Amino acid sequence: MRKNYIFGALFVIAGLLIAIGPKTIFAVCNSDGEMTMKCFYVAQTELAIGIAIAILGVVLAILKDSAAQITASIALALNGIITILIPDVLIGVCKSAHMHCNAVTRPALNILGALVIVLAAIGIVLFREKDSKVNE
Amino acid sequence: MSNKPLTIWQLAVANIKRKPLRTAGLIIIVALVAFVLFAGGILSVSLKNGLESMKERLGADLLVVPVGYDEGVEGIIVKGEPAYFYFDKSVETELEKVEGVKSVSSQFYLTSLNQDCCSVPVQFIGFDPETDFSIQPWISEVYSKDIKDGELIIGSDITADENNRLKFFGEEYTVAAKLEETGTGLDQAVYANMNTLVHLFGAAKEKGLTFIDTIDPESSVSSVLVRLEDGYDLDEVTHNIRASSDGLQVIKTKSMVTGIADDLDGLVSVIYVFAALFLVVVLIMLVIVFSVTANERKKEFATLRALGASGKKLARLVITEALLICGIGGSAGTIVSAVIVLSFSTYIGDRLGLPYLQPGIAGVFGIALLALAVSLGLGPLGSAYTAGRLNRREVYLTMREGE
Repeated sequence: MRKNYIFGALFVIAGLLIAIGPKTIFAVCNSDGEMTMKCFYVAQTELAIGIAIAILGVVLAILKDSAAQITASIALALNGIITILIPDVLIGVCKSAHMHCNAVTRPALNILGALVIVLAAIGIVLFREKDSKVNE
Repeated sequence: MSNKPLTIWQLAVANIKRKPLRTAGLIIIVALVAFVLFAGGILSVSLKNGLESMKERLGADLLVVPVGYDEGVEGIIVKGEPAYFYFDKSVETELEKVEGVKSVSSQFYLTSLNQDCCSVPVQFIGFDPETDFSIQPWISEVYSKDIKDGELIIGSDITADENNRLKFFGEEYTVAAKLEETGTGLDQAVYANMNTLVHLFGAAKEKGLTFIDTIDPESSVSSVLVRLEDGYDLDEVTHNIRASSDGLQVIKTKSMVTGIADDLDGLVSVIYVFAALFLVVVLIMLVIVFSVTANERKKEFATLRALGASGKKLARLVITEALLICGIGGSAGTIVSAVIVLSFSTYIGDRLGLPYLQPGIAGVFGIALLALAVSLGLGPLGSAYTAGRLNRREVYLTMREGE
């Protein structure tokens, strides 16, 4: 099986988890009451980032040109960084260490973001190897 | 061009690459072992640390609370579940007179509202600096000055704002110090002297906390901590206290710790038994896999022997392959386990509902090394039988076997 299919599938899974996870599996705190908590916006933003990662994963699977695959991988790595920055720096989560968004959502997004970065880095190396083999 | 000699290492790497599916399967199995060992190690050490920390932190022999609130006080100490209950302050004076009581100190509990966004209710614990023997020894480790009126000492899980201030019931308070982590519910508490607590109480009343309408903070307390005179028996003093006054629930802190220790022992035993069983099953599985694989590779081994490799070298080849697989699997499993268990430590502690204090970097590193060493050890152990057989067998017999 071609490498970009495997990588593409992994990015689609990670992207969907980032998009839907903060609203389901590792949900942020409940904002049904009068107040809208900070973490609610984390979930909203991650929904967009996650979808972007999933779409880029599909694009990576379709692409045949190594240079384009490397470019897509770089874009994915940047999205992975943003995935981590949103709950940690850009928006942040609820203050209390025991709030669900702080104890569960934030570490889950950090792990998924790191996974996207690592996968993208491996992809860049593999696609570059393929590129240099074609050029030889 | 010079020909480099083919080393055992190169041959082993080539062999495990040649069967990617089998290699991946074995790596995943070993990774699971390392995962379970690391996670189990961290869990059991954290639970033991938590219990030790709680034992040290309690500081009193007996805790006296209003009848029916023993679970409330346990919730505060163990799980960090905020609670409030009150009885008359005169109880403190009465308890001082009881035979066998050396010293007493009262505490006043209050809980915050979900007042500002993104916070959970906080447990306030007010204490009398003149008589306190339970909280101040811990405060003195991080703050040497006297705690002034309006100042707060916060547990390790409470976060102050950038100006070191916290807002409760619409008023701001200065955070004087943050206590070290204990792994108990007390990490989620805010401590202050009685004057500050009375002020907080007033502010809470103004904000419409109706449950405290009938309480006068000047003449009420939530609990009285009791220290025993040397030579007095815990049961005897408990009996004396019960006889002295009605409506009091006496909690022996030792029993509370023992109860938690019993729960903890059960949990830790389950972790150890599961890890041990898993280890044995995987070891048996590896012995079988390596043995079956060696049977499939008879021709390959016979060719290597015909080319001059000794039986010892073949045994070393099989052991190196096993070590490589277990090394990769062990490292991957330990890393994944560390990422998950350490990242979700707060959630794990909350779910267990027991004191949970994660070990420091050195402790975590030690457990990781142990998990890695055990998974690595599975390699030689799992392949020893096959390696021994290869070492003994003759070339001709190996070639002809199965024909």
